[in-house]
Amino acid sequence: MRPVRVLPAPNVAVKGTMSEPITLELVDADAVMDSNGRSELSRADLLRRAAVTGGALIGGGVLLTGVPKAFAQGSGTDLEILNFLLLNETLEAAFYAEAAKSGALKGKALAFARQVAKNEAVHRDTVKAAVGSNARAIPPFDFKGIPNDRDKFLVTALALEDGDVAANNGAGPLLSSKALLAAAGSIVSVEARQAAWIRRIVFGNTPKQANRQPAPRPFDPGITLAQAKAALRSTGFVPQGEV
Amino acid sequence: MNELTLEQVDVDGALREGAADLDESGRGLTRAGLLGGGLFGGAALAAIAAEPAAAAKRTKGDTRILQFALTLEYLEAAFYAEAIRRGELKGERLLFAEVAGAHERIHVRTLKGILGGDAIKQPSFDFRGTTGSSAKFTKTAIALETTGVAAYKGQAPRIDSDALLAAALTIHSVEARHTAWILDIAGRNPAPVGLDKPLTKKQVLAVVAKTRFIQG
Repeated sequence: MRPVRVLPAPNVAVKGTMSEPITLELVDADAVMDSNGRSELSRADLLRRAAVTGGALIGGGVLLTGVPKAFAQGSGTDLEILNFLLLNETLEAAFYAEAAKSGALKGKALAFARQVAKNEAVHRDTVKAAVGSNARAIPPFDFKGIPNDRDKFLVTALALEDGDVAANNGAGPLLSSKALLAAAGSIVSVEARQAAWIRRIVFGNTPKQANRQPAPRPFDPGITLAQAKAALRSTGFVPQGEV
Repeated sequence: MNELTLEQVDVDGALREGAADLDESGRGLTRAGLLGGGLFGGAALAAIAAEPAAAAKRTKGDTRILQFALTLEYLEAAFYAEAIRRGELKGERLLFAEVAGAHERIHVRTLKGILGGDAIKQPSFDFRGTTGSSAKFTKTAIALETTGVAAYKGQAPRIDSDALLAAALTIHSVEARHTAWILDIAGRNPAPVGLDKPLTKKQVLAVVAKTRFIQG
């Protein structure tokens, strides 16, 4: 039986429950084959597994569990959304900064980490200014050595950036303030640029499969705030405190 | 309205299915095309399709915004189509033009479908040789995509309907992906600043007018 190929991986399955250790599994559903050339892990299996473990599939354009009807839900006040974004942007600013100085990256990956660290710091500061004294405290982060491992960093970055687009697109229509919508609009396109950029780094210049391309779909669907929180929780990067 | 199921959300096949569904129907958007195919604007777009009453209640402002967006999508789709036809592109530039072009075509059909009788016709374009070389194509694509993102961004806070806003946002971020993609191909920084700026409709139209791509 051939070993599981770790990279390149169009899908990152992130799963974990309260009792299981959190793992970031790099699974290429299309490439996992047994010696007879049959796929051991079909896409349907992967989705079912994610659903059963309560985990979330991020990246590769696959939606998280459940169907987003983000624009209609009306859940999440502006403040709730802002505090989630503050946590997310603060986390990412720290994550990319760590990766940039870890020494694990060079060339395009290093240039990416450095620029994105700057951009996420701007996002964090923008959201911080918007939330003002209503900011929730930021709990400590544990990046589990991922910024120090080039391959794991790249795949995680891909999942984070695609996830940011989805979270922002879901949150946008829920915001009651036009000013906040404008700010979110200025942020989300940068996340989308970063997502396209990391996809080029991970999958190369001429990937044939749509789900490996910088723009995998004609539309980027939004996810709900609950789904965005669940995805962040399931990374295990916020071991204490509330997401 | 039926919820989209996970099985319907099939990344690998969806873009092809969706595009085929749209092209083959010849009638523009069908319900099946919206719910089953590659239209991940997904819940937002499906809801719009399922509620024709909502379309009837569309504000004048939203109609103008949709027509504005349609103009830009027509422009981009035609630009990529001509660039591919002229045969000067290869490798990663060709792939970009094919994929971005397919997306823009789907955006055109989606916006036409939403607008219905309010859809404007495609203008005639003259791309003035910008599709004739790899270098000119690259420079022009960067300008068009950057302007498109800024246009959607400028209009978003002005959209009255939450469903249309959701749909607009699902397109806006894809245009941003296109922008970063072609910038990276050009060897430029794909995300040089933390915040992208909006442009007003007036500013966008001024940029487009300067190109003289739109005839008449």
